[in-house]
Amino acid sequence: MSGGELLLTTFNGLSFAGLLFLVASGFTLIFSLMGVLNLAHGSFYLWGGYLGLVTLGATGSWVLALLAGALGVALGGGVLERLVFRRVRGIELSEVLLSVGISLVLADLALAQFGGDSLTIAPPAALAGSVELGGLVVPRFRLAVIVAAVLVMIGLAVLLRRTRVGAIIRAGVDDEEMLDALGVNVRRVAAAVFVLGALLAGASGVVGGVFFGVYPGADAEMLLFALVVVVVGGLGSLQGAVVGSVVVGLVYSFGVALAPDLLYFVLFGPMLLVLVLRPRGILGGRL
Amino acid sequence: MNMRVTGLVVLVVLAVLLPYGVGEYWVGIATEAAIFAIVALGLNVLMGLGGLVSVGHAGLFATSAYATSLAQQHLDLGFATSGLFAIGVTIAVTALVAALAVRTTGMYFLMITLAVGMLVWGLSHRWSSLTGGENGSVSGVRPAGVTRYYQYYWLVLGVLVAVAVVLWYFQRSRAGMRIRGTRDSAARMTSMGYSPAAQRFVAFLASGTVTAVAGVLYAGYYPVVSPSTAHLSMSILFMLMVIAGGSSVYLGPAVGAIVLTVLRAAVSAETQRWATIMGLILVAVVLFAPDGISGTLRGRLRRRTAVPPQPAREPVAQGAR
Repeated sequence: MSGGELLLTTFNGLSFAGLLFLVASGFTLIFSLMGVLNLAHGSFYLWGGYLGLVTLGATGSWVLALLAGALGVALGGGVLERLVFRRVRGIELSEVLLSVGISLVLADLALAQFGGDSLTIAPPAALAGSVELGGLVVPRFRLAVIVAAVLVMIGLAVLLRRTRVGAIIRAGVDDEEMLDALGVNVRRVAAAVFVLGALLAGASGVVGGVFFGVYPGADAEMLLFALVVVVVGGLGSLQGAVVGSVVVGLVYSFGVALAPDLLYFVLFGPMLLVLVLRPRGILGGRL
Repeated sequence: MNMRVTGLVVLVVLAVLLPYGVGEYWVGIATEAAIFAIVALGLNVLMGLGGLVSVGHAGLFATSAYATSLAQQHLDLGFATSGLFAIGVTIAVTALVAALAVRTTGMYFLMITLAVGMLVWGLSHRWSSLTGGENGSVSGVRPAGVTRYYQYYWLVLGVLVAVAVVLWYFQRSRAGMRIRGTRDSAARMTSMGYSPAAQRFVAFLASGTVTAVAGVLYAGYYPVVSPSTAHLSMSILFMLMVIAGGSSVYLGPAVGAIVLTVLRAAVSAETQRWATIMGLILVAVVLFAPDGISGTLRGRLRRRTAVPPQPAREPVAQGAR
């Protein structure tokens, strides 16, 4: 592998890490506040992709497609939270089982509606083509994904650390009863976080549709990636999601380039290593 | 107690007589149901007795089925020897997975099993030089004298009964009690000098061994072992069998396996939306019948006979976030 290839592979890994972070941050956010391991997160991602695809086809506007994917899934997530998850709030196992059931239904309905083919989302015109970056020619869209991921990361960090809402969220993680006694509507905060996580999943579905296309099974694949990211980084930690995304993104990118046949082993290597050394992840803990 | 045993014997006799009453198709479904019942009973060692939810058991099931098929093709082994080989392989894989997984509990445990199950699926899918990829791996070898469909059904039924009896004694054995004790209070077991991780390891290994047996039978039942055997939806189906049947009643998971297998056969004949229905069943069970079919029925019966209801059981998995 020459120097240029090395740089390009690294860049590809980082752009994939950006997408992974968009998916995994919502996943880990929902877990850290609500304690819900939302295994329907992959289905949220998939539906975000399909909603974006349909909107792009109908309007031709990429901004509207991104909004439709994000807001549509956020709305759906809010409805599911209200109608289903809220009924078993606090019972961890029931919550995760419900999310499994919902993911089955969502994936199957998507298959019924959109069929089994892989559909690709074209990147927005402004981000099509390539750009030269310090001697390296890289696709504009992938560069934009890295930038977007960094912005989301900063946004989430500011939201959690610097705002009143963030203070309430962190307080809810530490002592829900006390927060409730102080007059904060914890349920509403939890619902809002769930919706935010769904929103991120929906938006990343549209972005991921440009990377890999939208197809049945993308939900399970992305869920698997998100799981590996949070296991590596540490579940329920924003920094963990960052570290995990970068590690998995780079490992995946170099795995594809160097040993495509062993990709699965390569991908799971860091996860197994982390499990042996630090069962709770590199930065395991709560937000 | 005696009445219960008598009732079970009657049920087994009826099951033995089934091929005289229904045709080849339904005997095939019954064979499949019995194989899945073995898996469900094995999975319940982990879920009911151990309080650890695995969403990756299809991975172990498929490992065993593939190992059987591959041993028959490449090592030229017969049914019994390839079966033993496959069980050995699966136990080794289970031990590896368990060694990693039992370091954690709750959601982390669930995630690790999920990831491992998906890893097996990915390998069966991608490693096509070994597994045949999408086309699957040829299987369907049955022992001499048990090649007809109803004979094979009887064999599977016999193994199911044997597994049910062995696991019954296992859960009442000292090892079983230690697993139960770890589920209820790991701290108490630790203070008594037992390692919770070791108990969980034993539970996982027992569960994996039983699942391996079912995998061997499955390879004999189907002409082809395909990646769908290892798919996540299969793991969910197994888990749903345990939950829908009721993990707190000993034979509950077997009931769940039979009900769901028959339902799947009936639904699949009508519509392609089995996954949707399975998801809705899962949601409905969690919301409305968390004790499963047999747990709910038992509750009803108890109430009718005016015996005070049992206190609610601890939720299956205690959360270690």
